[in-house]
Amino acid sequence: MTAAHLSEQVVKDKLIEFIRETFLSGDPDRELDEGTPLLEWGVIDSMRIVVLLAFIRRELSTDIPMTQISGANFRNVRKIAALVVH
Amino acid sequence: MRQAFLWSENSGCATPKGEHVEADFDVAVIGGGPAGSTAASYLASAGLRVAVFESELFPRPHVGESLVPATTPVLTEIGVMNDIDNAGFPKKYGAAWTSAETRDLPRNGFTGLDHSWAAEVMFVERDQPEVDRDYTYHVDRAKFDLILLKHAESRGADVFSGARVLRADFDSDPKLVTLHCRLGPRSVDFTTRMVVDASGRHTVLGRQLKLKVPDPVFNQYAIHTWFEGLDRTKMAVNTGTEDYIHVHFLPIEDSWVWQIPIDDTITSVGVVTQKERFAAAKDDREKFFWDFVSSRPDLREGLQEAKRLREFKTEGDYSYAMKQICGDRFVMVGDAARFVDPIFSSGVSVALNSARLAAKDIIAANKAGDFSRPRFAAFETKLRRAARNWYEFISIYYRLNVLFTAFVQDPRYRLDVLKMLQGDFYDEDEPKALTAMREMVQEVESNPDHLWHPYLGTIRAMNPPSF
Repeated sequence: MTAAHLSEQVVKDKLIEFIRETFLSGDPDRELDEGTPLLEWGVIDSMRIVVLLAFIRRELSTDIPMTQISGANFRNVRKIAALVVH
Repeated sequence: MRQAFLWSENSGCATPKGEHVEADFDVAVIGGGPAGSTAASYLASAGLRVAVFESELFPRPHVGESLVPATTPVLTEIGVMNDIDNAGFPKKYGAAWTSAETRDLPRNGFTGLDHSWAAEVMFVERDQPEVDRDYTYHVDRAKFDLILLKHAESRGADVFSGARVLRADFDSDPKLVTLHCRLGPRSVDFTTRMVVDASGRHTVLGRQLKLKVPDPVFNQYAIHTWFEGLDRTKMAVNTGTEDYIHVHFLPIEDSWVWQIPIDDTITSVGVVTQKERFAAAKDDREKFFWDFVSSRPDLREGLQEAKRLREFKTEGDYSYAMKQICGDRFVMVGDAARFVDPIFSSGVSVALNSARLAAKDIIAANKAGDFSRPRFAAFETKLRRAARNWYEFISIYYRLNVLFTAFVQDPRYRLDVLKMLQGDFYDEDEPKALTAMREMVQEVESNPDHLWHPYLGTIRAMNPPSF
């Protein structure tokens, strides 16, 4: 199953919302956007990837193989959304 | 304990001259821990003349206090489950892992980042053959081992307490084994038709026959004690799971802490790490323990509010295998056959299940009147196969423990990982999660851009020793 039925923008919005709520205590200062370097800023780490993959599998009906967990693919929300949609 | 000698007509051996030479016993079991008691229960119930030689006087403390559900079929089959159920041990419904990850994480950027994580499994999530319940137990091994040993005795085994087996002589008679024992101030010899080595980490036969080989990869070390009044609800990830076994990862490579409920107020706590780290601490056990525990402030705080009940005890010379686990007139069971690592609480389960497998072959060997090595082939094949799987599971866990957590949380693999955590290793070739985990480790090793690459641990054993 893929999330081809979802537009890339919808996926980005859902990802941002999830990351804000789950990892950033709601991100009250609205610091996160689709270009934020997630790894460099320490928002995503080895364990949080697992949580994020579970969210993508559950809510976006997309199975990203664990082999795809690279720095390039998870650099920012834009990259992750591209991975989910394509 | 009974010390009567029972002689029977049909179990002697003919000498070359045709005279009948009686062995004192059909089977002598070295060690009265869970492996020895279980073997003795099976064998005595089948009508064999069995003796158990236990060097200590029970009850005595012992490490290895958390069971897995794979013990249930064996405890039930030997008929001791009622006694265990009535002993008041805390029920164990699952396992939890906690971490406070602080390694190589940049602190710039967002504030208030909490990088701790946790995972839990419940045994009820997966049905297991021959297991009729959702829980197993955490046990005070002093009490648990005594119940099992008494049970073996009630089934007809002769139990000699305070009897240390010094040597087993296989050579002076091709049909008999002579055990040289120390019983109080005396040296006493007994003869038997075969020997079950259940001597635990003493590995009596492994050492005597020079079959013991240190593990090339694992060289872990444990220091442990009991605390009274540890607030387990504070350590729990969720409400209602405070009596799970907890494995707390330390932000120190290959190091973790076990937390096992012994009763309502007492908790067993142990630090496991690489042996050389302990050597560097210059043998100061107390300082070493607290230094390690303090790498997790939440743990240190909880333990400092509790009261330590026992001296610190250590377990070294940790991981080993045997070139042979059976031979003419002997088999090895439990820790006497192999010990790798306590991470999955497999010790008592391996003891019980290996004893069950061995007893089956021994009973058949007794019927055939032949105790030569080929008679124990089924035991050897099954135990080796199970050992290969659990060894690799443990290796992968240390090599990349994030992978384990990822698999637990992946619905495709969760039950298969749980199967391994239940200790259910004996009846199939390779669990599919194990295959997938192995491939994943190879992928992460070969891809430096993989986000898990920096988390590869130093313990690396993708190919277990061939024996």
